[in-house]
Amino acid sequence: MKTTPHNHACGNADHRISRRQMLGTLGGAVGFGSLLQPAFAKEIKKQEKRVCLIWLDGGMSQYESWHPLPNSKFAGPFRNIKTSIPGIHFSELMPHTAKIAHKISVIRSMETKDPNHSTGVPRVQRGDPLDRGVDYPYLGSAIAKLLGPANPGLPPYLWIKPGNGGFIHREAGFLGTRYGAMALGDGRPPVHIQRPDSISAELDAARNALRQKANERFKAYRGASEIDAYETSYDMALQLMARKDIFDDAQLGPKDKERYGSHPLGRHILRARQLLEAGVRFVKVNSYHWDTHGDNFNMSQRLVPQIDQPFAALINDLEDRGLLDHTLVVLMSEFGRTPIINSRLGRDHWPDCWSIGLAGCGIKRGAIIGKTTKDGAFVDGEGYDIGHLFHTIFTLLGINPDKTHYRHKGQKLAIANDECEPIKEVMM
Amino acid sequence: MRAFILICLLQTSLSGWAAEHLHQSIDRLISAKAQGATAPTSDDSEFFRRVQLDFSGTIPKASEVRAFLKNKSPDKRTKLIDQLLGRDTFAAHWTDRLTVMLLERQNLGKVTEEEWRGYLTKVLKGKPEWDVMAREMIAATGRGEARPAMKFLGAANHHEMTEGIAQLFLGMDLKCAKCHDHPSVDDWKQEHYWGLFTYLNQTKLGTNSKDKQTYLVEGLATKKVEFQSVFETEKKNTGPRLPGGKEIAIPTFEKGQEFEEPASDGLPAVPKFRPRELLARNLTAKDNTYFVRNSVNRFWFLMMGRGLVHPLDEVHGKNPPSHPALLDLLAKEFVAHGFDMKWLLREIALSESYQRSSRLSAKPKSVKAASYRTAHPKALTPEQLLNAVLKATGNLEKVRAMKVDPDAEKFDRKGYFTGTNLDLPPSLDEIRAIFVQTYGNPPGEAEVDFMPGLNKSLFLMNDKLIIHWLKPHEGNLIERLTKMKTAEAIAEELYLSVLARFPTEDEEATTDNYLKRNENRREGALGDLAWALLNSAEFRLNH
Amino acid sequence: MIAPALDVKKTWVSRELKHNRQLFRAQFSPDGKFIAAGGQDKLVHAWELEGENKMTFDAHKTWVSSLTFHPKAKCLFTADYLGVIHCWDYESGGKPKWTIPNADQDNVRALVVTPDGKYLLSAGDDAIIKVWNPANGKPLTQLAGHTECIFSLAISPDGKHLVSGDLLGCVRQWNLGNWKPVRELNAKILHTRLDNFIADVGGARSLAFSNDGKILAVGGMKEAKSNAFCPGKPTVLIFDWASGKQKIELGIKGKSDGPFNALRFLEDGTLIGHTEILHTNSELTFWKTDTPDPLHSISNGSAYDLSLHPDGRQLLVPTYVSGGASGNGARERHREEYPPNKTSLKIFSLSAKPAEDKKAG
Repeated sequence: MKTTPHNHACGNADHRISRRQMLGTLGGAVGFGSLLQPAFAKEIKKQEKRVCLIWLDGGMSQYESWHPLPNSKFAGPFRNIKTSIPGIHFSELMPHTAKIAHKISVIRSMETKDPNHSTGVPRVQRGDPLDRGVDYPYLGSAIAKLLGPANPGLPPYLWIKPGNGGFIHREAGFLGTRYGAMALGDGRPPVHIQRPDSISAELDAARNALRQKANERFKAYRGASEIDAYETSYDMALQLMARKDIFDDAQLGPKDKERYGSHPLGRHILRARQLLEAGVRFVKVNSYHWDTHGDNFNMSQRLVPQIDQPFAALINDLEDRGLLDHTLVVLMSEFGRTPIINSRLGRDHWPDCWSIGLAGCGIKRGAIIGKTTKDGAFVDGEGYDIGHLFHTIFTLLGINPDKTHYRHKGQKLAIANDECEPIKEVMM
Repeated sequence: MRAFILICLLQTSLSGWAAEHLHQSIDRLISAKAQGATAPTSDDSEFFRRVQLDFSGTIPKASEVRAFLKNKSPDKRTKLIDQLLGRDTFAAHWTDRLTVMLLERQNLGKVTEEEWRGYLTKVLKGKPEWDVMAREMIAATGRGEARPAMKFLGAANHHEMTEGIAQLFLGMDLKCAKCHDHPSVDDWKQEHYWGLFTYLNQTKLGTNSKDKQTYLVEGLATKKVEFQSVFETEKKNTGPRLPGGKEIAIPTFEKGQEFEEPASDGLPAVPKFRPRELLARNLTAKDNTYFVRNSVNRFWFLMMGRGLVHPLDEVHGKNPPSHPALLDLLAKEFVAHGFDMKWLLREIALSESYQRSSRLSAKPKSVKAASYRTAHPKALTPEQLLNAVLKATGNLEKVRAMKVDPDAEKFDRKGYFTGTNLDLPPSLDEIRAIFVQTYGNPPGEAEVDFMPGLNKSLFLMNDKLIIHWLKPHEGNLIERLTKMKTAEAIAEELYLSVLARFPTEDEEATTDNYLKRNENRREGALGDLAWALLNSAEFRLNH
Repeated sequence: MIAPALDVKKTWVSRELKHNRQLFRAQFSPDGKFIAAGGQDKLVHAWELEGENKMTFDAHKTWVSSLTFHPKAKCLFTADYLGVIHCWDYESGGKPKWTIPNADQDNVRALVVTPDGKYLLSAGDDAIIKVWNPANGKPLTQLAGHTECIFSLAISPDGKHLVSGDLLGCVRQWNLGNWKPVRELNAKILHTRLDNFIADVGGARSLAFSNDGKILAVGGMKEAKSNAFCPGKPTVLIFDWASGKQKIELGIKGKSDGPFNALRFLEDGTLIGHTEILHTNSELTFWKTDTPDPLHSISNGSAYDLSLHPDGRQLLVPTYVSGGASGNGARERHREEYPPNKTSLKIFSLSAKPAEDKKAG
């Protein structure tokens, strides 16, 4: 399936249902009552904006990926390859992404402030807001709060990570635990969404009917919102249990697995696609051990392809499904890696000038931006800080960061760093 | 009810309100601001469950409910309250509650959780005086009987101590005031933060070279602390100073005269001027209204589910109490009764406001929680929930009796939640940890308001333990029910065991219907019926 | 002149040649008159040791990854990360004599020439060993069998066998001439892939035969702790060549934590290795191969190659030297000057320092 080309000049990719679709649906609806309503609702749902944040923890080297600069004195040994944009090259370690360069934007002039992992990861994922004496939410929790679920039956923030899963409250910061992430260890759902084998679907429905009846009785003459909130948590639980398919590998074709790769990052990004398709608002995918202080070149040779292949597959698949215009994909780390190759043939932490990849949801197609000094060590001119990125993300999601605030204990709090603004160069 | 009116009449005839008990004053002050009908007094079963949960941390057994309902004595509620306050279960449950409040589920410092709990339990079995307890925690050195109280100060991180003491003993969330005056709360200044900080910044951990134990020691305070707002260029300084209090001058001593005791056994010399000890004394003084009001507000919250000032750590001018006169009165009386915790809890429990039903007699549009017109439903704490589930399903004794094989591999709790560990947890401690992980907040976060969550619901619905407990095992609820013949008897036993009340006719009919529809799977159907009640809001809340 | 007695415990640095970029590989020419080296600046450098004449050969388009001399002809073979091999007349300089453009899909990690000078062998990322005619660079044959990238090659002293070591710690033996695979030696301990790794770490990084051909040493590291810093325990496995059985495992006593990327045997049976730094330190290590602990070690900057002078008394180590700007995030500190790291080609003398030098020093 090919999506219709979009009019990029309109400056607003605001996910309109095409005029023809609209007329068709409304026209057809006359006389059919609500019969055609689901199709319409489905289209609306499809156009709900969502986000996929792919986080390469530790810091991917920009030289070995987005910004190879083979003539720099800091270049690694790898080839430059042509991309689908004339004159733009990526590292040879990104052959798949090179082919879809015209569908994405790359910012090569990120200039952030924190060179440490322990402080840098939260700082970047919180958008580095000005210090207000509160713990800001991570991006996923912020979006969960600001936009809520895209599909009311699914949690707004799922986090696919290696290792263990669970409910990770800490990312919610001052928003409170309910905006935390539901983490899927190795992409697997929490064990408790599995109905025990001894309970059939019919039985489950029957016992839940008993439960609902008990709640109805209890609710009579009681106005407490606690009861409704409790009932809602069960509705959500049941809806998630009913959507076990979105965690089911059997739903995926063998070709899919091949195209994304069998390594964890490939499997996890493929799972992310499943979740985004199902209407999860925010999916974060983490991969760890990109902190290549030692043996950077042997490691990059093995690591970068693990993101290259599934990233390109994700962009292509989202586009094929008509979802790319509504789904913002952000590929980043807490910083880049040093130009200097250290004593260990490694590269250290480098927030001073590094690169990130963006696609979808109003991100320009094929905008590879950011000037650097000749060897790629520093930004030439003004760099973009993480606050600029957050302004961009919020704006693309239809949230005006200048007019939208959090309220916390009487304090009005900006959702993004007050001193930054959106990165217009990458926005349609 | 009649007794209550009688007392009121009696008292109005006396001079003013002087002879009024505190619980009567509570009701008078609450009614004065109710702005609408109040709910009737709870029925006996509602009250019984509530007070058992609040004072003993668990729901009652079916037989206990039956006995209490049968008891026709007019003062049975008062007697029950007095009995419960005197039981060991009170000390155990309030050890849980105070621990969660004070430590926020963090395993702080070197004192073990067991030692800490032992300390609290011992105090709570007697006549706990809150100012003494607070003093022991703030002034803790690690010496003497109150040694475990030092757990509260943890690793003696100066900022954490400052913020913890401000939040828990003064009701002030001063974190924002570290870097500048609080942006939206005019009452909270940066100097409040640093004034408290200066009481604490000489404190550190030291290890005694002889007994190898850790102690909290104070270094020599010689100067004020300098601070600067991130919004201003001017630097300020302060000595030790309580919010609303006067700055304390840091004394200077002649060289050689600074110390009371010389350094010994690897611990530093003890200075004559020990600001933390001063803080403990001054902060907990009966004229420190911040401390006293925060104290009564927190105990009120623990009983009523909502603070008179709420959120609890937002005690300031922009967040006034719902019932200012009541807060003042509680504070005054608490001081007058020597900070006697049990006395205060007893008075609250005796009040009509506490004993009200959570149900209005007519369908309400909405009732503001701050009006206390109905009983405010409180979430069962993770510990209460576990106790209640075990008691309701009749599995408590079995679980208590579980013996852990000392040579067994450590239970893989993470794997339990991810599905890689299919074993059932081997001990009550492990089961409790699983409940706390599911229903508690992460360490360092206060547990105040009811927070339903997807994971919490999913656990009660589908967890292996719950499923296991709802199968018939010797002496448990389901086994007892399987032996019963009539739907009526089954419904009665089921509702008394799980919800601590008799079923309505309607509920009996539902039970009967369900059993008839599932005649060929009776055990399973009984499990379903119990499951539905365990998963109901009525069970999950202390209403 | 009689060569001074070997005394590795008295090893000292007799000469250093500095270079402003990092060089990975450096070898003495068979006549001992030249040193050739290559690395990050893409150039091949040749120093004439007498007179210090220096030449530069410019043809590689990326980092130089391996380098070896022909034992008889005046030829130097150099290879790079893009699979290119050049042959140079290192005495006269100029353009490459010939070039193999695609000796590997990616990086050529190892190059050797048989002692009789008949074959040039290369191996690297594509896991296939290629045999070339050293006279013209024409392909002769290919040896397939490894499943992961090959780090190391060595020829037995009798000239009959080739060994090759790969990332997974698999060491394969091949017949020279008929190119048949003979057997596999197990050095898998030198490879680590823990559950949470996202890449394989380690490998049979270096191979060396003792002069009598009775021992094969396989160098690398075991127990890697991560795939980010990649530190592990530098380790050499000593195999009895006749039986193919591992006899002993050699370790270090210092704090070095990177693999042995190079190994050389001395005529008295002493084995020398050099580690790479991956976190804490690197060292030049000496063993008697019947004892796990080193006989001697010298803390030295990271190195990836060792070369023994034909006199058997001088050891060349291309040693890493800091340019002064390494480390996390620089901000303004290095905006004006941000130099890459450097190399010192250290020549270690493996015997006691002559007396007059001692006085002067």
